Amino acid sequence: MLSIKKILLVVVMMLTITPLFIDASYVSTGRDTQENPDTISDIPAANYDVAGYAKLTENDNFIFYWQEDRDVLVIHDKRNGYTWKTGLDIDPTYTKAEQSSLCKDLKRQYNNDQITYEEFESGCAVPVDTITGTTSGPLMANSLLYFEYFSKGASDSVYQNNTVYSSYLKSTLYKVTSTLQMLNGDENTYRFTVYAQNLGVDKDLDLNIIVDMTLSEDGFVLNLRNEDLSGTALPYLSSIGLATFLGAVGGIDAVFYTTPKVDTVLGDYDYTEVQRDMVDGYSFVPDGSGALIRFLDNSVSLSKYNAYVYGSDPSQSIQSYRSWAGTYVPFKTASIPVYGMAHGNDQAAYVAYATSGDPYMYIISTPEENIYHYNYTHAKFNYNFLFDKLYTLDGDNPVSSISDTLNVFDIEMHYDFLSGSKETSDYPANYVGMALKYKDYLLEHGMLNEMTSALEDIGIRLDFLMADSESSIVGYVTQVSTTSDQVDYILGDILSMGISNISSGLIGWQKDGVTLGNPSKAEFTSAIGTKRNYEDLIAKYLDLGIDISLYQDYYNINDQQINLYRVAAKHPAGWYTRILTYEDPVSVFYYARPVASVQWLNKQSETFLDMGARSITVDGITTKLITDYTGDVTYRSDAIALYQDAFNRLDDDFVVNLTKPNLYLFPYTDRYLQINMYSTQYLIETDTVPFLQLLLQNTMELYAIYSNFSFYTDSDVLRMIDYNVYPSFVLTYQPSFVLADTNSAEYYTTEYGLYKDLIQSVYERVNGALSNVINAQWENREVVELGVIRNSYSNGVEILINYTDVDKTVDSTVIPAMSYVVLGGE
Amino acid sequence: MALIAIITFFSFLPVGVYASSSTTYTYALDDNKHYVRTQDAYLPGQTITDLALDKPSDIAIDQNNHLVIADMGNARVIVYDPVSGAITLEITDPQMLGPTGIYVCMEDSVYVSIGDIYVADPTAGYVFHFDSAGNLLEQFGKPTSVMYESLDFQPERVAVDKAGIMYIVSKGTSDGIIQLSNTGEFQGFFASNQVHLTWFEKLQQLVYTDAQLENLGINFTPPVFTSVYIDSTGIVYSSSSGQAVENIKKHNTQGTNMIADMFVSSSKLSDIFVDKQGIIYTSDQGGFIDVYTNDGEFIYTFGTINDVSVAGFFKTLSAIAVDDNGQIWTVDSGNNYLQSFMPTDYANTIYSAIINYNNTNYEEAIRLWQEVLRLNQLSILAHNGIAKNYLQIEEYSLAAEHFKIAGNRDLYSEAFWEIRNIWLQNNLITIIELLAIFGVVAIALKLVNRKYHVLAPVQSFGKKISNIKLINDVMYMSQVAKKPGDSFYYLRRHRKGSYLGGVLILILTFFSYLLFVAGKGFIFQYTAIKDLDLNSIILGFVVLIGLFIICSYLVTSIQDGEGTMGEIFLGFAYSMYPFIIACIASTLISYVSTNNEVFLLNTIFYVGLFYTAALIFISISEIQNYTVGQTIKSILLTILFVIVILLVLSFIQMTIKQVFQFLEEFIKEAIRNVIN
Repeated sequence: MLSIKKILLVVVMMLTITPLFIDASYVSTGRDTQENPDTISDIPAANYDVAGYAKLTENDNFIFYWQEDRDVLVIHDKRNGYTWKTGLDIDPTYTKAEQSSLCKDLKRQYNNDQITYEEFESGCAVPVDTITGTTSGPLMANSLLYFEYFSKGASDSVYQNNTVYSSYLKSTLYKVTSTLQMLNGDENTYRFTVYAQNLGVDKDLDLNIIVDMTLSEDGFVLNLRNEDLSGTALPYLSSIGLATFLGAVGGIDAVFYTTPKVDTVLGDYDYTEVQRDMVDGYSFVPDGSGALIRFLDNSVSLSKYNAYVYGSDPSQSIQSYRSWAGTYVPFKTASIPVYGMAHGNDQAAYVAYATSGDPYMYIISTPEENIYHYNYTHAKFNYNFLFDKLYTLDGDNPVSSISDTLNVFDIEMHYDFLSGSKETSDYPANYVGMALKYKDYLLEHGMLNEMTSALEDIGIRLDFLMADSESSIVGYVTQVSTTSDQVDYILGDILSMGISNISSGLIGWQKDGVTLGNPSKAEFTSAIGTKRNYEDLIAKYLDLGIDISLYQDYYNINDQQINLYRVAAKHPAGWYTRILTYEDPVSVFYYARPVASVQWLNKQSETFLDMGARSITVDGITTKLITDYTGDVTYRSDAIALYQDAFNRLDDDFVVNLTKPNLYLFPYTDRYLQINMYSTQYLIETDTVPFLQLLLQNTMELYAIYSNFSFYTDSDVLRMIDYNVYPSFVLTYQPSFVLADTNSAEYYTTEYGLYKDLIQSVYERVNGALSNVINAQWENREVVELGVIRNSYSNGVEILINYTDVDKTVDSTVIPAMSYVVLGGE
Repeated sequence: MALIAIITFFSFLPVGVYASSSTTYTYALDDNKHYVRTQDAYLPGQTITDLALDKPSDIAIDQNNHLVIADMGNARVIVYDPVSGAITLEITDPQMLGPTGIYVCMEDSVYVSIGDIYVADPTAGYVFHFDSAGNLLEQFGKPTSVMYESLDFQPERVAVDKAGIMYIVSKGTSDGIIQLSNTGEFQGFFASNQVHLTWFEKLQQLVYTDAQLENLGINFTPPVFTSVYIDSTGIVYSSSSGQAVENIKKHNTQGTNMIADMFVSSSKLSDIFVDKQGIIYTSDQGGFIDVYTNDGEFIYTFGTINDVSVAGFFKTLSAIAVDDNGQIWTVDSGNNYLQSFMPTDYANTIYSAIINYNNTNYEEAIRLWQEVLRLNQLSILAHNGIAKNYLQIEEYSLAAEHFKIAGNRDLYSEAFWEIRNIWLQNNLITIIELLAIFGVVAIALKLVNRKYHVLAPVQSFGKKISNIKLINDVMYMSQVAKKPGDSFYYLRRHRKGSYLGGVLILILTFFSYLLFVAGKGFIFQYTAIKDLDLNSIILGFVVLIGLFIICSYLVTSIQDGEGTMGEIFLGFAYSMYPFIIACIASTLISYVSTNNEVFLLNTIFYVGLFYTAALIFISISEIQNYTVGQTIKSILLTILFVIVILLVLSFIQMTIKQVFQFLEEFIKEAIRNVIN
């Protein structure tokens, strides 16, 4: 007879044995033999020419050289004959002061008739880049890599941030040696080792960084594995920057000139500072929809573009655990880890993107009016950061500290070079080419999937704001602006106008409304709509081909809607990270831990599935990333993995609507909501371009920001057509002042009755253009003249858009003012 | 890192709604005078960075719609055409060292010509008068008048009227705006600012010595003027910095402020401009641009200060001007560039609506305000605007509806008066007739009842109700009010009334008071119900009454009073009748009254209050068997005692809070040490 004990024993044995059979991947241990280590070999001295360049390899498109003294990789593009360098490649010892003393010497010789004027002039009248007059300028300009680290002396109260460049060092502040060696005998792979010594206040720390470089027909790839960082300075490592001056343009030369002897006046020399002629071109940064920073000689000092990819991290980017909301529109997020530079007009360009390490990446574009006088754009990766450590209960007198643990990640940066125009290349040397190149990379690697639509009309997004709560004499009272029956009425009305390809999100569907509804539950109230009401509504419209989803923000939370314990993310200072606003009735907001967000998403999605919903709308976690310091730290890359896993599970059951998703959620996005139509408008940004839209077109449906709020004029409609984006509106049945005392007071105009006609007119205008290019690939965007755009598609259709207020003629086609024309197609 | 923090911190806001190309939010006022976001009024236009400016400090628009800029750091004045992008004129003069103020004359007269440029230069100490070609015509230095002898002349801003009279804001002069004749003679101070002290500060001024006042840092010098402007109709406007009220002044010919009551959005204004329609624009040091109607009604505000160079952000907003196309031009002296802002449809519609109203085109104005409401359903300005128009065309109900939404009690009262008036006119006859019929019926019924007792069942039912002990006890309070002396005696002897009745009466008092505080008609209900702190009201009510009764008992028992605590309680409770009636009555009346009848409401309330106070007085006198003098003394002592106890209670509350905080810290520290 089986006793309990025996059964338990069998079970335990089964459990212990089973893993041995289940384990599929091979894990090597000390009893096995490992793979061979990488073979490193020096580049033979004979390979270096007189100027110090060694040819590394040559392929169909490029010849690669390496400048050993200055650590500059030279890329000669055979397709257009243009040469790119990862650094400025200047001799840092050749300074204005040196030239000046040489000139002085030559002048003396000339005035003593020891040399001729020609000899004097040829030796002295030479331009010198004034960047050499600065201590770190030429180092930074040449270096393939630089790193920053924190140091603090015993008597210092704050940490200093010090920068060390990999390139040749001319001062003795610290020592850096860097070498490039071939890897495994493969002339396409190299290892760049940087060893820095004498770091720190006591000059007793060191750091070793290894970067692997792979050369290919596209360009080159830099790999920096986390395990390849070592040294006693490692805990203080703040960030590592790569290829700072790749494609940099600008420079001010001290142009020396001589004057000959005349009568009694002796020969002399002097210099003037002359701005070097700048190559026409621009940097591209992924600010909002995309922005170009043309190379200009700015006469005022403007701040640089400095964005943390996927948005700032409330835990690492802000020293204090709390921040205040401002009176300005939040800056647009860099949602894709890509940037680029173009030189000339469709001649030469490169696009740089991170395929690993992207959650920790800064994209920095520095304009010309800085101390070095160059326009340069590069990427930097964040390892450690400063934060205010708190020792008192009231949060006062914080102590600035750095984190005990670094962000752990590998860096992989691709630099692909483009050449030629649309006629000669699939990837022209401009931002369109950059977008198409990056898009192909993402498609190849499954980050994007091409979609096909069976419908003949474009979609329209109609979100409904259902309810929110305001203060009452005791607690809160919910103000309902739309009920589920009213949603039914409005959708029915719109259907009757002939608009059928509709998708809807219900905001504030839960009991207590948008702000106080609990994201971890699904509670209904008959005042807004019972569970049954919603089920009937969803089912009814599913039959009509309209999907209705319930919207939820799983990131921004407050203590009135849910108990924060174990659910709100903590700042490294140990307190809940929060933001203080001037809103009413809830003014303080916290951020949900990624683990909690994902739990809620799973739970609510099960309920939605039960209710018959085949669509889900998510906000908050789609566009924000936070490092959570509750217990075991959840880093940004961990958060990304959690989110990807959660959405992966939803992908099969739902049509996924995401608000402003970052790159890592693109594989799961069916509809991209509230896509940025503008950039942040930094003053250095000279153009706004639809890079994001070019990237995503035909892989998911793109919906614009709500037209209700200053986005409904003719030029806004044209912008939607130009950017291949569909219209969206947020509606209520009641007038919006019903919500005037709630947190939703910012939805200041939403009443359906007022928007009925506008919805129809905006939809018809945009549909009139974009219905012709459903399922077609957006191939090119051209500025025919200022204010006139031509978009070309793979099905032969061209859409010409005229933003100006006069009629324009393009190739004998007249485009009326503030209007568009569709040409060609099947 | 700090810069990164500034750049990035606000991006953590809950994802909300923000318009397309705007970089700052636009705010208007709601009905509680709080700022609320509204549709974007202005979008960033051009940023002109290539003029090589150095600390530019003022801007004006000339007759050709060009910008005239005081480029202080470069000691020059430039005229710039934003359309062609060219500098059309550059004015320098060996005597001009650092111009900070510009005024362009827009009219021809005997004294000035159109396009004349007046430049105020505090470093040089002169006001320069150039013609439109940049030739120096005259310059005005420190006035030679005796009155001006001891003062400095450092003109920062200048405005000139048709007669060539100059209104000058001089650096550091707190005496006011200097008025110079067209020949530079000192004519006096056109206007001055007053010092506004709070009550507490006034008290301090009385009590403290001068040295102590200085230590406290209270500013007794009037706030300085920062700018002066004369519009196309010749009215002088000024802006000041550093005070909460009267920052913006619209002066009459005597210099008095015509819009003294207006709500001013910012306190540190740097410049003021008035366009041809009379719309007032101000810039402030916090980077905000505020816009008002000509009557001083606040329209909206936008802007921000931020180190990051983004279109529409300021480092130092020093001056503002508006060109003929409605475009706002601003000067950022910290960033050395000009920033322009384009008005949106929303802004233009609002301005049109205001203009139409001023021109008495009410129908058109209503249509425009409705368009504004479509763009922003929460716009108090639009609701007010539309309501004022409805008022003019005698659509009183619609006017009242919109005034109510806008929270405009004064004008709602006017509209309501009209509605009531019409209602009365229409229905007065009917009411009188009904009253007459009712009177006749009542008399007839009484006569019939006397003979045939038809109302007997009703009367007996009524008697049955009133015979219920509890109801009888409660209703006894009406007796108390009519005959206090005897009634209190009966109360004392427990022949009438009961403790339960007393409690019920106090509950009734509380609810009637709550009704009065929270339930009045719209015109008189100043606090929204949701803003009431119910907990405090309940606590206050219970504690005060409880304390009063206890202290009264304690005081009277020391002073040979005869009453027990129970009797004092009964006496107090049963005195509430007039107060209850007053609260209910004034609440009810508030629904049909207007501002004209506020005296009536106040009278009813205070009569009830004083009557109740009198009854309490009598109750103490009766119950304790005191003389009048003794009663007064007892009441005063009671009040004093209540105050003392309240102070002691609050002190205890503070210290208990400290004790709990200490315990909390202690435990947390212990836990932390154990875990670590």
